[in-house]
Amino acid sequence: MTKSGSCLELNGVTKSFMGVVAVNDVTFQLERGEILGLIGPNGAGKTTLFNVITKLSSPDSGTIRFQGQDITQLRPHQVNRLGIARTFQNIRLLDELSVLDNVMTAYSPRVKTTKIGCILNLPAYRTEEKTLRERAYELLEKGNLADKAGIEAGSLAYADQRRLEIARAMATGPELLLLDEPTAGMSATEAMELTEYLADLHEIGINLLIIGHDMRFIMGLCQRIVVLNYGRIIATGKPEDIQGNEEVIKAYLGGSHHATSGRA
Amino acid sequence: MERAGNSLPFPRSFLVILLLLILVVVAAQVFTTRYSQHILNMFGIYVILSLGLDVALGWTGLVHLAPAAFYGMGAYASALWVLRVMPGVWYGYWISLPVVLILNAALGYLLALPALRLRGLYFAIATLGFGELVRSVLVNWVSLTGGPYGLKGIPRPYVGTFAITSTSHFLYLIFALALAVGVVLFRLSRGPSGRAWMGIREDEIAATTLGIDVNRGKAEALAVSAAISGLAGWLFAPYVSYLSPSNFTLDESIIILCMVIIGGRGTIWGPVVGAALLVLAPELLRGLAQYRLLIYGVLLCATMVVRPRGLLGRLRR
Amino acid sequence: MFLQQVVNGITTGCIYGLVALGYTLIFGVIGLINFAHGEVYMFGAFIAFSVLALLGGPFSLAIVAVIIGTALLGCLMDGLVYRPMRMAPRVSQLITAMAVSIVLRNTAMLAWGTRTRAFPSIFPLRAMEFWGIRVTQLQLAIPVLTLLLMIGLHLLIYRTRLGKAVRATSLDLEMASALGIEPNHIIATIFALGASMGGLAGVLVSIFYGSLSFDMGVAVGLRAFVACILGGIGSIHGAMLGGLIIGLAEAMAVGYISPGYKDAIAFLILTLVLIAKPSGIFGVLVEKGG
Repeated sequence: MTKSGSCLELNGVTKSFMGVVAVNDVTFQLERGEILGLIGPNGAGKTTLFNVITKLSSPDSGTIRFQGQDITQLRPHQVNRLGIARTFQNIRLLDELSVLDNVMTAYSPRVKTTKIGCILNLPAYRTEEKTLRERAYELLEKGNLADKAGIEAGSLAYADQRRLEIARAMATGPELLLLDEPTAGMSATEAMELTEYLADLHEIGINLLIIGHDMRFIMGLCQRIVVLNYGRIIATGKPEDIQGNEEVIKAYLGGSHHATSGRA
Repeated sequence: MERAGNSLPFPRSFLVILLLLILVVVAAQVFTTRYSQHILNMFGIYVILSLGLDVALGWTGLVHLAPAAFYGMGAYASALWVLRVMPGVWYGYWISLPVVLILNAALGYLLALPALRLRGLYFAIATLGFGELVRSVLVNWVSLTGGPYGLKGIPRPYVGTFAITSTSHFLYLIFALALAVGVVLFRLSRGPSGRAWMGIREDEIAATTLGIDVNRGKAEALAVSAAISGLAGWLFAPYVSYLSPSNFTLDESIIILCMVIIGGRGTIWGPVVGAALLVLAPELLRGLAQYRLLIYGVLLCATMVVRPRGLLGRLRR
Repeated sequence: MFLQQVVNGITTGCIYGLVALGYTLIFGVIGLINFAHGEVYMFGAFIAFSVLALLGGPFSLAIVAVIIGTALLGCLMDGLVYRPMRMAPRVSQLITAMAVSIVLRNTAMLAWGTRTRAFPSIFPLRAMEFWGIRVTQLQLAIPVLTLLLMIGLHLLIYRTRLGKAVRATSLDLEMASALGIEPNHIIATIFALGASMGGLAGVLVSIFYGSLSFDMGVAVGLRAFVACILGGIGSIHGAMLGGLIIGLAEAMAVGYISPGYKDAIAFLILTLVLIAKPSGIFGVLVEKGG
């Protein structure tokens, strides 16, 4: 089954916390050029799976491969440097830093000039900073945040914070972007705009793995969907197949009482 | 954090530096008594110390409670180098500068390795323990440090045959270095390292998912902080020419902590203002010398309760 | 020599344990490391000293004054400084506690002077010899008193309504107040309780060494604090055990290495514990936040 063309490949990944199995023997692939949705009732293990992929927590067993390389043993910053970036369900911005600096911080592990260059304010350093700042502004413009570049990130409106988090993740130059409920707390219009933005990212070759509660958003954007329940994959397939899948409907009706509200 | 356009043909920081230099020269002319110059010198040394602590405390969010330990190590290392390793050579003192900086940076880095497994409070406690260990070594390793009696007769530095002896000579030396430290830290804080450190302070988990090696960032910040504290010690040793372990106690660490917190952590000017307030204010209230620490304590308490970000710290919304 | 050091170690260990109880009680309930607790111990000693030597009062009055005085001091610290900081980050609370410690120590210095004072000898301290080990009556009394206080505290926490409220508050502050417990009262009680135990420990030490000084709280406070960490901060029995271990380790260091490194022992242990097992030997407490 293993294809060398996969972007991300999980094989038998299991993770438990104090005896409770949060992710149970999960195996799936995200092909190159794909937008993959990850859905499931509350507590199904979606965010845990994100944490395992980004190595914020280590799987008990199983392997994770990215672009063919085994990343199971890496540390989170190494995973990011290979090209996986993410956002968080409950938004983790650098609250006291400016909007611009949130994006600039994402460049900091990738700059070429050394501390000495920075201390001496060498021309090479100044040029690099200038280029990075321009790139940061480009990212902010795409997220409609350019006019807010100077304000504290923590004081942004909710939807702006979500978009800033994505802009910041993009600044790390990822090939795979993991988005944890990117539309949570957004109005229908804002969610629509975000869908377009994400489709643009996909256009330029970014692979996307998206957790979503908002079914209209997920079904509209994703080419394929993986459904988790109690840590296990209960269905994989195209949006239209998932919608009619008996087991998925049962999981949603039995496992959670409010997650069905947005179903198309 | 604003980076507005600059129409000057040179970075605006040059203006600030120039202004500060003029200020130092003027101060040296205005305060002519030995005593008042001594107060200024101690202010300069505390500026360096509090700036150094702020790298760890204010920028990286590491509650480092042993700046006095690194200060002491710098002072003793510089003194011992001049007394034991290169005695009677005029350039001995100047060679001890890189020795002190490298030694302290290395020890700061080493302290970080085990201590970084600990978070928040536990990290603070570990540094506290480290500070007490260093003090204990200074007191007990009598053959090296002179024990509780300390090191006496540390020679004044020479430049060739010119001896840096008077308090006003030291005034220029100390403030030149304080200014240099300020510039270096200002540049670092605006650059990639500073952003990585502040990213770690704001949210370690977010920082690590942005590709920032959190442990390395913290270790680097501690190393830089330790080196700067060591620099202050390097200046202090020949200036007072006598060192004793009682100069580098927990109380000394707390005084430095007071300066950073009262002035406003995470800023460049905060620690400077804090140092000015805590060094210069007791001189204005000369009769209250014995109340000095009590007043520091009350000020620190009041700052933490009323204005936790310090005088120059921005209040959050 | 070995047994003699064990006896000495147990005596100081009990004192560390008593002071450690104060740290652990407060941490267990509100997660604050009350760095000023060592100063409360010093205040206890000075209150007793003032009643006995300066006012000429009887010993029983001195003890009552210590208990009430330090309890009030504990409540005062909490109400004036720590309560407004309740929601602040842990680390800010720690720094504040350090500030309180400076304030108290320097207040004591101004009030009673910088000299080391002689504590009035109330009891004739006769020493007895068992198999070549010198034991004073007080050295026998200290462990017994400590044990009694421990049992009392245990009963209070696990057998009374107040204890139940304390435990509820330590588990979940908001939940406790939803159940009709007034958390601030409980916290004040805990401060009073911990402070008076620390104060009593200060009196015992002053009787034992026959002297006291304004900075006596620093060293003991730090060691008691290490004892807490060692035993697992938040655990009552751990604090006592940690105190004994530190006391014994120090006595051994004094006996077999050099008295000079006595100070370093506690911190060596601290470093090792923090690196090996930050939750302490008992490991009761899951670190609350950071």
